[in-house]
Amino acid sequence: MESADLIIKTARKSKIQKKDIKPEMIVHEGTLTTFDNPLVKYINVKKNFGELQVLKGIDLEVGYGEKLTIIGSSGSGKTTLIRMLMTLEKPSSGIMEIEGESLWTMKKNGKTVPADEAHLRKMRSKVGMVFQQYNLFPHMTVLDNCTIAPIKVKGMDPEEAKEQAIQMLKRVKMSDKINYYPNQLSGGQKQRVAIARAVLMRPKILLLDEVTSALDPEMVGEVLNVLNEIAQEEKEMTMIFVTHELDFAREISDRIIFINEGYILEQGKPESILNDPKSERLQAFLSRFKENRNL
Amino acid sequence: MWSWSFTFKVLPKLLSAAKITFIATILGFLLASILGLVWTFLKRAKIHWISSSATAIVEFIRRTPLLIQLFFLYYTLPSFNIRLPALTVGIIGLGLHYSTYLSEVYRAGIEAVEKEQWEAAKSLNFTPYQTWTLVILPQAIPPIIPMMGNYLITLFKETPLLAAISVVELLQQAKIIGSEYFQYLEVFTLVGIIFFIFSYPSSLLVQYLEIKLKNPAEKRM
Repeated sequence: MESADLIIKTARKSKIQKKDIKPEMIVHEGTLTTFDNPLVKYINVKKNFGELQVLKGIDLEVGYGEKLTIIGSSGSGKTTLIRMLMTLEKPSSGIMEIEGESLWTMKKNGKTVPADEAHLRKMRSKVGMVFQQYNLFPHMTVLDNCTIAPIKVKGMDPEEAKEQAIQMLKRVKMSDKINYYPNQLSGGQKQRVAIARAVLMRPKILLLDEVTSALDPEMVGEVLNVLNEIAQEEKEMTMIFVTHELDFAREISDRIIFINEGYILEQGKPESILNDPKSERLQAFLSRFKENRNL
Repeated sequence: MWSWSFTFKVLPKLLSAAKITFIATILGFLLASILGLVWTFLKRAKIHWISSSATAIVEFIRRTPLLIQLFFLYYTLPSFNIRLPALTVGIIGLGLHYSTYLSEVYRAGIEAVEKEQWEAAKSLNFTPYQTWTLVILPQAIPPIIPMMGNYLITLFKETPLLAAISVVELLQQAKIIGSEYFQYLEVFTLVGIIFFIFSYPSSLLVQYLEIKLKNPAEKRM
């Protein structure tokens, strides 16, 4: 029974895939899309959830220190794209690399085999993430949330970790709340702590997944201000934002990519792509945003 | 009828037997707590034969009477050349039986931890061991403490079953005294009262913990 089901499913899936024709990617003038030495590389990456194909073939390179923003309507697969880099989702096919090393496979006795936990941990140490729902540890104070991973994972001296955490919490304007528990904080405050916690691990790549989407409108500003400052100051740190805050994206991004129906449809520098969208889809997407703002 | 002098005469004997009851309760529960967690992990194992055999064993122990398990352990262990004092066998029996209930309690506690907490742990590159000990269990255990408390009280009330395998705990002692003097009213009443004195306040404590742990914000303020 089961295997018969599987065959039917696979057959259906391949039919769907055949129908889809990969659209031509539009690259705005003067946009750097390939690098001699990319930090992150996606090669024809696909991702299915059951029968639903969310990503249909992503090719993407990200450079060292780049600030990249991914935009697209909900369900377009933009969150999935970065969750795969944090190893929270596994691609269905394709190759992902960090610093030229394959994320999901490894070499063992000259053969390529699926990555084991040790390999994934090594790769994961280069990546950090801030989540939409903050995901702070509710049983730890703000300070402990920020020091636990540096101490336990990186083996940092507790005093040193504490000092760095306090410095970092100053930068996100939370240093007066170091002994509070997450449930005593507002959403905006929680998210600023979550940002501090992620940056303190000094990842090469920091992923920010719709970090203001769950916030009350009056708290969005404080979080974006903090993020803006961090993006300016952390020149070395590559940051990939998934966001609907287009003004913010315009200000901080080196490049914006637009994902539509599982493909990267258009990419370019912020001014160019936001002021002069080429594809109909992006034009429609952007005009929806302008309408919403006028309401 | 009721004789007070007899009551005070037998009370010390009963209280010293109560010690055995407490030892069996505490050690049995300790064993159940540890073994319960082991079952929970085995049932979650990624290797199928481990998880399915753990599930089968747990279900078997949970769905058969404790008294039979006690008899089984007490009378068959010696034929495997394992000779243990009756109390030890009793503690193992109680611990094993209740571990299967506690395993369910742990499972509920672990499943109540939001899946985002696992993702946060991964994003900070915790090892699986660190994820369990630093993130998941510290959040999973406090809410289930009242449930564990209830099982502790139930286990306490089931210790008289150990009388069946010749452990001289409260009930067995009462029986011995009763048959010695042919006077049962006082001894069995006292046994009832001793059980009540310990189980009732414990149940109040559990209720108190339930209310207190329901609102972690207040606890932390």
